Amino acid sequence: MDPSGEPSDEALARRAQGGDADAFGALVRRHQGRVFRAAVRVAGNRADAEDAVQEAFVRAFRALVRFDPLRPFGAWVAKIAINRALTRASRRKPSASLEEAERAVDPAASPEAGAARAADAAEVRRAVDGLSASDRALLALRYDEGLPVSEIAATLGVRQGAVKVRLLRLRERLLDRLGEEGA
Amino acid sequence: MSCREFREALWEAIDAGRAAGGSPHAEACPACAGYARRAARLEAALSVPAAELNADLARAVASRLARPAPEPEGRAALAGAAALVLAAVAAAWWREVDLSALPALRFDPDALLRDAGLVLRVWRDVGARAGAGEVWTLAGVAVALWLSTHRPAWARRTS
Repeated sequence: MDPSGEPSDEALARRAQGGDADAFGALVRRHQGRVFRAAVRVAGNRADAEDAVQEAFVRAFRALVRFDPLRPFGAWVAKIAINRALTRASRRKPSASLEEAERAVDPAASPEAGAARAADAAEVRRAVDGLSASDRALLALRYDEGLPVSEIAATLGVRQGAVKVRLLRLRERLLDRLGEEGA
Repeated sequence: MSCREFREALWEAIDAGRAAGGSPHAEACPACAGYARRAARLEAALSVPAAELNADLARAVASRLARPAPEPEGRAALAGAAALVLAAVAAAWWREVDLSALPALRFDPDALLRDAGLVLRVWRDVGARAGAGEVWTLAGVAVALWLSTHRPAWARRTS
């Protein structure tokens, strides 16, 4: 039980392992938003991202017997969803989802975001759409999952140095798309 | 500190969650000061979620879980490919059909290289469009065809 009185992920995962479908449903509702945000960055569109998220939760449920409830459930499912989204993205030609990008940065959706930040986000989103699926997965792990470089390296099975170099190159490519302020 | 060192240190600070504050290098180098400002804007832009989920997927997940689990695609395709290969070897063994005697199938190193290039291109194109299951099934068919026309020594019946 966490301080808010809700059962913890660990408790829900243990109940789900015992066949409690309601407990698994609660885990889905708790983590679906976060997992979706990572998947949509990789897939590049809502439909594929929703499918990837559903597949990820189904696979997670079927693999629950092997899951250690002490591990973070959300990160585990997000990694599965990113892999599913990567598979879907590799089967689909890249398509710029500009309309979706505009919707994503709609100031109404994030009232605290100023117009300049919304414009930056739209420009960066367009640039991200043009990246490879594996580069988008790297950004999803860093920005949507908030993983440190060491965990990104472990997830992708590469060295930390390689992740740092890829992130630096990616960021410098994206920086080129942002003009100077007031320019 | 060089510009390159400053920029690497800046990203390390951002990744470590430290405030990338003022630095003597940035104060002396307008290009790096501009770089640091744009880096902060990029971080803010990337932190905006790509999109938010509007639906509750719990019901869709529950409905998928109610369906019987399909056999894993890769395992089924591998089993199919293995069955095809075995069938081809058995056919070559028992029927002794020596199709390699056909002129078009005679060993020709140049033709073999050309064919290998073609096969690689087809493989790449198919791989880009199909899933692992289809690719493995095609691989099985290719091996079966090859075995049926180029019977290796171990598959020949000795009499």
